[in-house]
Formats: sequence, C-alpha cells, structure tokens
Amino acid sequence: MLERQDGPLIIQSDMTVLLDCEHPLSEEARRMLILFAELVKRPGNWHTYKMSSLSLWNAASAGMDAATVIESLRKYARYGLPGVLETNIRTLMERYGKLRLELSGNCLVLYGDDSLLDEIAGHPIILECLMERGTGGSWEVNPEYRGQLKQELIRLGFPVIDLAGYHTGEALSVSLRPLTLSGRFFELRDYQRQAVDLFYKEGTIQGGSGVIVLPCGAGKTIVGIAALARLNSATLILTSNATSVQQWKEELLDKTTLQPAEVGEYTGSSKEVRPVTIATYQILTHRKSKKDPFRHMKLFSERDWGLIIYDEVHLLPAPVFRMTADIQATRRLGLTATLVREDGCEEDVFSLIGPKQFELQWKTVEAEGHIASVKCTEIRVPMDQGISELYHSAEKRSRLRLAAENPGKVPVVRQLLERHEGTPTLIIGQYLDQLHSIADSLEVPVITGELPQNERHRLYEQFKSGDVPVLAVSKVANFAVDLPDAAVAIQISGSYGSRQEEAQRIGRILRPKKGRNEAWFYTIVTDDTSETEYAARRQMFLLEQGYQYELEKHQ
Amino acid sequence: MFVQQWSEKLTSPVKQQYMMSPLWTGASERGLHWEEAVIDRLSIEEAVDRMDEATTAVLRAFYNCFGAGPVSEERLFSLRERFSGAEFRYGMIQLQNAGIIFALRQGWGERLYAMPSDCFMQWHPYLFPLAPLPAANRSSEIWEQRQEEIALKPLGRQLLAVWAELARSGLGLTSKGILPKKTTARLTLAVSITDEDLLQAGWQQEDTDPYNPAVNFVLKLTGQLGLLEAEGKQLKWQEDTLAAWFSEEELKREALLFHWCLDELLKKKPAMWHVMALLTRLEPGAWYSEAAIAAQLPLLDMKGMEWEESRSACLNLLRGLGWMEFARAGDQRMLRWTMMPSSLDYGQRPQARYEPIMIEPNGDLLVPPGCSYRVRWELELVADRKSDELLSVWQLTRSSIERAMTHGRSLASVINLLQSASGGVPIPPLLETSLADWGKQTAAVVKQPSDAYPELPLEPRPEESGFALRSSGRAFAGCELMNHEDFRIERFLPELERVPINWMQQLRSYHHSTRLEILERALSWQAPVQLRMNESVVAFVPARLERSGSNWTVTGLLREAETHREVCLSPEMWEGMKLVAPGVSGFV
Repeated sequence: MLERQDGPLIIQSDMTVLLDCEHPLSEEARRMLILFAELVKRPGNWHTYKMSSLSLWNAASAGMDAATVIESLRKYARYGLPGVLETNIRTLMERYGKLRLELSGNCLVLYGDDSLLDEIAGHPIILECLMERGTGGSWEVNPEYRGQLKQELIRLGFPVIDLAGYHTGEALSVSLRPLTLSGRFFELRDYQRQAVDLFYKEGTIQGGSGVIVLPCGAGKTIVGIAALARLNSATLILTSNATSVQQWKEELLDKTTLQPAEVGEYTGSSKEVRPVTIATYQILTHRKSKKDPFRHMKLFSERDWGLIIYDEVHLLPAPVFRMTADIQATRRLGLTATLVREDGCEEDVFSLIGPKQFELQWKTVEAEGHIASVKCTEIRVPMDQGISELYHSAEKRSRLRLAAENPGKVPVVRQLLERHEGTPTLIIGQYLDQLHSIADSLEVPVITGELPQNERHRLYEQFKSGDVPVLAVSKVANFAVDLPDAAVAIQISGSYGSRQEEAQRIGRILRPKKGRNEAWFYTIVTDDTSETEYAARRQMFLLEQGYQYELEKHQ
Repeated sequence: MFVQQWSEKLTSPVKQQYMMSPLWTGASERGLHWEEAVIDRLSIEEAVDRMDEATTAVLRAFYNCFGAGPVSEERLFSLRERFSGAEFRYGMIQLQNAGIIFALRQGWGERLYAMPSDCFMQWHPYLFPLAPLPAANRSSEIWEQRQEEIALKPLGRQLLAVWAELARSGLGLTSKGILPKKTTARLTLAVSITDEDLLQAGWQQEDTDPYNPAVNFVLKLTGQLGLLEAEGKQLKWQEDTLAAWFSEEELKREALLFHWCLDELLKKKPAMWHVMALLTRLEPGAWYSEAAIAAQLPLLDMKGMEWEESRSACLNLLRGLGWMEFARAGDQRMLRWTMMPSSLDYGQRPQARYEPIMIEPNGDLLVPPGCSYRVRWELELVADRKSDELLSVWQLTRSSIERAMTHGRSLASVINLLQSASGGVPIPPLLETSLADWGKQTAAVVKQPSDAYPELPLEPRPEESGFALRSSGRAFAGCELMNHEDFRIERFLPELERVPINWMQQLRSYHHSTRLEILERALSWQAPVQLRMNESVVAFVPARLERSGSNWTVTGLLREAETHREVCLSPEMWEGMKLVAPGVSGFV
C-alpha cells in the first residue's frame, strides 16, 4: 500500500535512490546517503544514487550496520522502503565480516563459520587457494593466493576482511614542506588530512589499503603525497599518462623533502627505478606482441615498495589487477574521482586495492572554495554563408567537420576574449588546422602534439606566469595538465561526443581562483547542424555531474 | 456476467418487482435501485438477516458450486443436505423473487441458476461470517522479501505498457489476420504476468489461439474493453473508449479488471472464488500469515474443495496481476494487498492526489506513482521508458522525438505535454533547445505522418466518466433468462387446493391410513412433515415408503434441534403429525 510521507528520498526496489534536492531535508539526507550509496548522476534537482553490494560493504567497513542503513532510509523515504530492498541490504551487509584473513604465527589463515567454509570450499577455484583445514572455523591459505582468494570470494558475494597486515618496505625519509620550493605556504586541507588519517589508521592492519574518492581539482595528488610522507617508505606511483607523471614529480619535489635523485620516472622514454618511482599504466602493460609477457611488470618487484599508489584507479587495466593480486602484503592506495568503472571491475578494486576509505562530494569541495565555481555556456552561431552550401551538399562525416570549423566562430572567440580580458584563457580545439588558423588570426601561441615537449613546457610556464594570457591547445592538454590559473576555456570544436573529453577539458579550469573563485567554460557550436547533436551528447555527462549549462544564440 | 450486464437484460418493472421482496425492505426504504442494492453492503447484510434458514442454505449451496457461470439445478439440489426439496425450492424462489439469483434455461431444457459475478465477493462475508484475522506485527521480527515475492506491476499498468508497445509497433495484421511475430514478441516482453500463472489460475487456452497465453489474455481483455477493433487488415484504436478508460481513477480501473479476471479466469473454480473472497476480507496494506488464511478455509464448510491448490493459484495470480506481495517471517509466508481492487464503492473513496512529473535538464522525466495514465500513455509515445518502478523514468531523446513526429505528434504537442504534466514548471532551457533541434531536424525529413498514434486530450472530458467493463458472457452462451416465469411455490406443490386444509394447519393424530396419505403427499411435494414424538415436535423429511402387506414404514431424515439423522419409522412411533407446505403453511 503506497503511503506517502513528506521525505526527500524515493527509494526503488532495484537499489536506486532518488534525492529531491529542493526538499528542506535534502542536505541531511544526502549526508546520510553517501555513506552507503554511490552518486550516479545529478542532472537537475533530482540526484540519482545507487546502492550496491560494494557500496554497502564500504559502509560496513566504515562501521555501519544494516539496521542503521534501513532506519536512515526509512526516515527520509517519501513512499516507504520496499521490503525486497530491506532484505537485500540486510543479506549483503551481514555478509561483511563473515570471513577474515589473519596471520597466525607465520601462516595466513582464513577464518569463518564452518558451514560457510564448507560452502566456499565447494568452489574449485577457492579450494585451489586453500591448504590445511584447521579446527574451529579456520583454513590455512597459500600466501601466494591471498589476492586471488579475496577476488574470487567477492565474486561469490563474500567480502573478506584482510587483517593479515603488510610488510613495511624499504625505509625512506620524507616529510611535507610547510613552504614549497616555489615559495608558497603549504599545508593539508582538513579533508585531505582526514583522508590520509582514514587510510593510514595509525599504521595498524585495519588501515593501509583502500580508495580515496575526491572530485577533480580537490587535490588527490596531495593526498597521495601525504600518505607517502606518513608511511616513510619507498613508493611506486602508477598513473594514467606521461604528463601526469611529470606533474606528480613536480608536486613531489615542490611539496616534500624528496630530492630529484630520489624520484624516478618510468615511462616510454625513461626507465628510472628510484625510492619513489612514477610509472604509467601504459608502460606496465606494454608488450611487443600478445604472446609476450608484460616485462615491465617486474617494476613491482624491483624495489621493496612499502606503498603503491594507483592514481585514477577507475582506469586501472586488467593486467595490473593481476599483478596487484600478488602483492597483497604491500600497502595500496587508490585515488579516483569515481568508483564507477566502465568495465564493471569495481569488485576487483574493492578486493585488491581495498574498500573506500574516504569520499568527498564535489558540491562540498566547491562550497568550501577548494575548486572554482564553473559557469558553462553553449554559444550557438549560424553557419558562415560562405560554406553553407558546401555543408548541405557534403557527406555526413564531412558535415560535422565543416560545422566544427565554421569560420563564423572566430568573431565569437574574439568577443569572449574581450569579455574576459586579463583572465588566463585556453582556446581548446579538436582540429589542428582550425587551431592554427584561429591562433594566427588572434595572434596567440598554439600547443599541439606536433610541438616538442620542452616547447610545450615553456609555453605552459609562460601561461602560468601570466606572460602568455591566452593559449590555444589541442587535445594534448586534455589530460592532467596543471594550469592552475586558467579561468576561461573556450571550446571551438570537440570529438564525436566523447563524454569524458568534456569533463577533462572542464577540469583544466577547476583549480581555485583568487577573488571570486569563478571560471567560465564556453563551447561554440554551429546552429542547425549535426554539431549541436554531438555537443549535446558531450554536455550530457557534465549535466549529470551537476554542472549547469546556459545557452546563448548569436545571429 | 456483471450486475450491469444483468440489469440490461431486465425490464424496469421486473427490477422494481425485485425491490418489493421482503429481503430488500431496508434497501427499498433507502430508495436504492436493484443494481445498487445487490452490491450495497448494508442492504446485503439486512437481506441475509431476513432470510429464512432454507433460503440461506440455498444461497450457500449456490456458493458451493459458484464458478462465474451458471449452476445446474441438479447440482444445487444435490447439496440441499437436511432440507427437503420443497423447502429448498422455496428458498430458491425467495432468491429469484429478490433478483439475487436468476433462473436460466438451456436449449435442451436444463434449468440453471446464476448470480452476477461481481456480487459474489460482496455477499460472502454475510453468508460465511468468520472472525476477522488479526494482522501480523511487522516490527516484532526480521522479515525477508525476495525479488520473486514482490508484486508485479498492477494489471492496468501492464496493459498500458502492452498498448504502448502495440502503438509503437503498428497495428497491421498478417494475411492470417493476426499480429506479426515481431509485434507479439514485443508484447510478450511488455506483459509481466506469466503464462504459467494464468494457466494455473484457469485461463482456457485454445489450440487455435495464435498467441501465447499471456499475450492472448491481454489482447482479449483489450478487445473486451473495446479499445481495439479490427478493420480489414489492421486493428484500429477506439480513441473515445481509450480516453474514457484513462479517465477512471486507478483503483476503479483495477477493480474493474479484478472482477473481469475473476469472471474470465475462475470459471468452474468455486474453491478459488472462496479463497479470493476470504482474501478480500483482509485489510489492504496489512500483513497476514498465509497459514492463518489456510486454516480459515475449511471453516467455510464447503464440499469437495481443493483448498491448497486453489490458494496457491490465487496467490500467484494476484501477485502476477500486481495486487499482492509476499514476504517471509521465519518459515512462514506472509502476504498483503498492495492495493485492494475488489471494492466496488468507488464513489466513496477520496480522490487520488495527482502528482506532477519532474523534468530534468538531461531529458529524464521522473514520473511519480500518482501521475495520471493519460500522461503515462503520452510519455510512452514520445519518450523512451528507462524504468517502471515506484518512480518511473522516461527519457526524451532525439530518436524518441523522431519516432513521435513520424507518427503524427508535433513538437508543440510534446512541449504542451511536458508543461501540462509538470504542473507548469518551465522546461529546462537546454532541453528545450535540444527538443527544438530534434524537432527541426525531424520535421525536415518527415513529410506525411504514417500510422498516427491515437491522440487523447490531456485533461479528461466530463462525459468520459463511468467506464463499465463487460464480461465476455461466454459461459452463458445458449442460455435463456427466465425472468417472466411464475416464481410462486404453489407451482411446485401439485394439487395443493385438493389437500385437506387441516393436514397443513393442525398437528393431529390421524388414522394410520391417513398418516400414509399425508406422507405420500409429502413425498410427492418433497415436503417435510412435523411429527409429535414423545411429547416433543420434530421435523421429518420423508425419503421413501416401504410396504409389507398391510404394514408400512417410512425412511427419511429426522431433524432435531441440533442434529439430523436418517431413521426408519413405523406409524405407531409418532402421536401426531402435520404436513408442511413451505411458504404456504409456514415452516418447520
């Protein structure tokens, strides 16, 4: 029987929860909800959260029980709580803690009820990991299979609490600098300190592995560096691309007492293995042919790492997971803006890297001024008369390019530069011809993949120092390029609706700004063409992330 | 057949005559018409109170064999138990004279009896009074509910999904006059109830039926509702009927469907009717133990019922039709109504609150449970359904707009729908722009809309109220209603006027030969006699006389205060006697 009460949550039996953000209790409900559900999208006033086995086990790992989750949901529910959902929550959460991995002397032992051990041992893949069965609900585990066992058990729906501890690794003396090398005062923000504390857990076996979820621009790198400084041990940092490797290195040298000789880069062009080594996922998974082994995986054992940091853990490739399963006695820290993986391997992150230790919502970070408030605007311009006829007679794919490179966009870019004169601005484009042409007419420098790294670096530095106020960049600047002062981004063309791309581009201007802490993202689109459709697809992702879009039409 | 359908077969004077029956005295004083009285709880309670024992017994016997269709006289009489044929006949006449049951004649002359099937549930609690079951205390222990125990979508929502799928797939028929396989496959996905639940509940699938039972069921129901009619090689929407259906309150729609399903599915399944009737006594929303209901069923004291099998079929059916859900408390199965579709007092319920839809800038349309079916129907046609849970989600996309415009919708009508359904909240500008873009691009391509979707006004029109769902009435094929027959008991008491009046008025001691004559008369009338035996008066229903020379004995049923038993009596065993002509010389 549907009984309506005035709550901000609509709870569906498929574990989806919708939050009405206009409701007076919405903030209270949201704070409760993020403890056991993941935000899926927030396109408008209704935010969609989803509970899953992992989100509930993450909550259980943080000390919540099923009754608390159920009561919290019931308190804010608009139409009550479906019985099936209550059962699911209870069933899933009660599984957490039923199995534990501990050290008994020198032996790795799996503890649990005898009946449960009987049940799991019925699976050959589990039995393969087990050795001697003990008494009183215990079973010795082959230490080599510590990761695989956890991985397989979670697939069966049984998360294992791993209390078997870690080895300390090679000692490394490192601390955070109160004054950075670049001369700025530096201290951890409260949430960054809290995240590190929750990961470290006083160095006990309860901590030491897990994932920190922070929105773009909230300083995930700083959290990683602080964790490294807390553990004082040799660290392997794995990240998504070469530019990001550079930035990790710059941040490490700028904000810690590490010396350049202690920080190595392990990429396609450089193979340094030092007390702190930064590598890309790409190099680790590189091999000459499909039959060859991943020879760079030896990096995992080339030093006695005390900590491995997995940056952008949602991008972690499958072979690295396999390797990670073998190093479960090493502390592991995952950093990400989202736990959602396109490949659905969230369970592997949970079992092999660890449960979520800390999460901060984007809105909270923005409200506290740690990231800029971004105003997004789509500007529609008419098709230039000169190419209109060509556009209508062209093939579909050529049409998009013609629309994207519409010369009618140039005057609009000029107007925007005037509107934001004095504000560091990036002009971002997909097509090199267009970028060069627009850069020529506006007399601004261009960074594309064609430009050597040192030239790029020089231009980035000039942009950072303010000597170059406007920079035209191709997609090379999509990833992890730190241009903290950029406050305006003008996108003149994009790819075929890639949702990630729009997010990455907007990420360039999220760093907190002096003064009003505002940033502007413009995307210029040719009206009445297929470009509007691709632009809409790209914007969808941002809308669902909670960004507001406005529309301007130029005649 | 339902009250409404019976009413159409009866003339006004006949219905007025029914209301003259002493059983309807209260209802008549309250000014109720026959159609109202037979489903009005107070009037039913009064009527049952006013019934003599034999009349109640007839009705209970009728309930024992009720199965939506007519019941043969022979079957009814076989259940008369301690009552004599004349008493039973008299009870039957009382019910016929009040329009509670109807006499029918089949082609070859067999006499049948029937009752409007939507009356069955209403009368049940008064004919079979039982103490109400206490609801379970939910907070006392931890309950479990599995996916296979939650109610599916209510039947009205299942139909809506099927119709929308039909509208989207097109109404063209194959050369065999049936829907193409591709369409049927989509309809199968749209309907939630399973073939198995329907067959177990009694759905009669013919070998020649071109669709699987679930699709067959919804298509027959759709036809019965009058929503689709075949025109040459395609089906055609009856838009006014569709609009009228959507104008009804959700609970009334479900109630109409509930009674239709019972009438159509539970033919010749009396046990299932009783299970349903007991279930409808439960409070909607409250949980009850299935075991407690199972324990109540034998208390109905019905003959030859397969209670367990019937209970299981009923519960599965109700879950499949979206009206009931289950849970587990330890090893006990619990159940509850998610909505109560059996009630016929539509007018007395408060109007359901309309809840507007929420429009998100990414094109998501969040539709709360209180949103009207007209809006849901329109959303099915112009947007893509993403989920159909408590809160349903549709999404406006380029392809959904393209589809809608190809089938005759305009961008203006979509915008009008959004504004109206959201209660006037402005459409987010970015979505409005996207709609305009999609609309412009599609309009350039679509020249002539084909297969236009039926277009219904978003606001119900006043003339659309009062939708009446009709039973197929197949069970009554070849039956003739005998409402002009002379329903007086005298017809069944031959030579009544030639019987000495004293036989029926005075309890006297007669000569043995007169005793024999009286008993012979009682036997020919199937009437009881009163006997004074050992200073007390008892009723006796003679069954047969046996003669041996000048001696004779009579065997029959001796009815005492609390019991009845078969006895064989010789004339010297009683001191006095009286012939009873039920309805003429009083009752035993």
